[in-house]
Amino acid sequence: MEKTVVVEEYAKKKCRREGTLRKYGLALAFLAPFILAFGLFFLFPFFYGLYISLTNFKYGSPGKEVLNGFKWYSYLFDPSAKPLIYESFWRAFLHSFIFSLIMVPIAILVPLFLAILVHLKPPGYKIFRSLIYLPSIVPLTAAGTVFTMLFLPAQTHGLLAALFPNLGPNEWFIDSWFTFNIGSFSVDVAYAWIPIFLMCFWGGWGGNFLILSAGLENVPKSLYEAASIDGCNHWQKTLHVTIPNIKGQLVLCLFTTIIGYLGLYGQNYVLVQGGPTIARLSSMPASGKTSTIIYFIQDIVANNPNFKSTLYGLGAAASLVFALLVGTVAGLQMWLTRDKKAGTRISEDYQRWLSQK
Amino acid sequence: MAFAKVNNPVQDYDLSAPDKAARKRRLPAAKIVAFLVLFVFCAIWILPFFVMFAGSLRSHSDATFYPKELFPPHSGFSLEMYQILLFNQYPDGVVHNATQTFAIGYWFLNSCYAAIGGTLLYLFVASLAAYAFVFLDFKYRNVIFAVFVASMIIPGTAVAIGNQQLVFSMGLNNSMLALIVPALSSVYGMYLIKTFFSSIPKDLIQSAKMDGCSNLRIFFKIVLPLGKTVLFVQGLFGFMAGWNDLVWPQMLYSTKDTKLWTLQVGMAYVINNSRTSDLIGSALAGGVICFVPVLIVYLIAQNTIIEGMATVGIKR
Repeated sequence: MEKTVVVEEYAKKKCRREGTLRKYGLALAFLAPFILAFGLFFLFPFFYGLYISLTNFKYGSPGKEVLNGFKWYSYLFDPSAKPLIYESFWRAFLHSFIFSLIMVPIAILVPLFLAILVHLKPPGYKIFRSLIYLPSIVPLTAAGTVFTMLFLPAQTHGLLAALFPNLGPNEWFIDSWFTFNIGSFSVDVAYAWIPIFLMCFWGGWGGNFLILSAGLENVPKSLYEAASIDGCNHWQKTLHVTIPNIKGQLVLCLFTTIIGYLGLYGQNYVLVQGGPTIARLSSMPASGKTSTIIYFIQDIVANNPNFKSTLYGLGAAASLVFALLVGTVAGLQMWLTRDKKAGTRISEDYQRWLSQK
Repeated sequence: MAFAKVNNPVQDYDLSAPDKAARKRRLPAAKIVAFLVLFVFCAIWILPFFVMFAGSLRSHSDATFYPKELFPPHSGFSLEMYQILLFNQYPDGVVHNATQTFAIGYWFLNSCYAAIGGTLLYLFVASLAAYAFVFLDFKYRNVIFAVFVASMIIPGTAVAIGNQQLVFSMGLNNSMLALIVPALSSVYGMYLIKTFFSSIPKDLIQSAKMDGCSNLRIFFKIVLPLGKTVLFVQGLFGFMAGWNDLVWPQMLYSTKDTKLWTLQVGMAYVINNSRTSDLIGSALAGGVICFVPVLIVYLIAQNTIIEGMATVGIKR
């Protein structure tokens, strides 16, 4: 005795069963954990941070704060309000900015060069590829121990000081290297930047290397063949075929690297704890010669209990200023890459429309 | 089976045949140069690992009196640096001024918890959301997704301070839960998983629905097994990020009980108290302890990591 089911009837029933409420309820059930986490740990803290930056929030006793307008922001942007805070913030900003200016080209050109070499597929290239990426997975503190040991001063038997007694200064982590002026602003460059630089140079671009390698793999072989038929040599092929074809990856690397190095913090903290103190700023957050923006924020909200209780709102304000800076860079990247994607999508749609006609 | 192979005249006709012969003569030179450059480069680049492992196995007196002899150490290998770190046993004659005891066992477990537990929880939450965005039909689906994607523009720094106050007011001060919950709101992993789920054929899901599979069943039995690769890649990234994070654990526990620290926070403290030839070996030993789990993960999954990174770069 089989029961016959008419297809239309079945479909109707099925439709009725999957009523709107149930359908939306289902989607909501799947989305709920993520939306909850997003709202609770992203949206809410964002606005809460904004609120903290506009009040005289007291760390440890929330709820008693009152709005104090843009006081914290005026400390950051008005040189006359609190000259020392102004100076230490913008000094930290300059440190981050100049360091990323130096580091970003290196962190793209070195991996690009190596990726091109690996792409030639010399014997054992897979091993080379793994080895080149290996430093990038090393935890910050593990790498920090090595570079601390290398650059310890002679009296505590640092490895470099022991092997090459006449190399560099006596105290790598304390001595000043040189000073230069930007307008009336004098920047004191500590030798401590060299270990920091080397640590970034050693393990700060592995992701870029993999992304660029993958980009090279995806360049169509036919283009190279066409180029060699046209009589291009190796160098010309690299310049006119390889580079334009991995432009997307280069843009991606450029922006992620800029964002990464603007947020430099761990290396400085682990190696030199923000670096040799500038005496004049010693009672301010980020008072060191190697302090960065994140160091400024982190000094207030985590590392120093004294700043935590007096300057908490300033930390929130500084973090939002930093977020605005990084957000602008990230937005620029999104806009640049989206523009291209939308362009191809529109042209593809146009092609499809043409062929349908 | 002589007829099985069908020659395709178009495919077999190689336009670049004359060029290929030329390349065969030319390329080995380029390959040899590439090999040599890469070899020298890698030899220099693995030196720090060598320093780390060798230095951690050197006794404090060797480090002081024979600092140049890194490998092998002057009077043989010694595990006393690991003893300092693991059991807080300082050998005779070592001057130290650490005010806190090292609880590296706790730090290690806390880091494992943050890296593994946090990642698994995130993968579950994010893939549920990704499933909804790909396979469920609801109003404003694309709008909601666009809002999520747009929020990626705001860096974590902007929300960290609000999060710090939030977890404190939720009473999570001394709870390990505070280590992992903020990462649950990350959109990036969800975006990656969603991109992969989109490539699963819709027909498959439709036919499963026709057969009366519930969405939850489809999710667990079809979509998750098919999405294994992307979940693994995202899981590895999550593990690495959780293991290496320094900023957020510092904001939570910087001045509190050392047993709550993660390995990164603890190691930063160890390094800062080991800036002498006597003690620097203990920091290196800590570096080894900190690095070896990541190294093991890398050795097991290096192809997945390398290819995963690559797809991330192309997909974006």
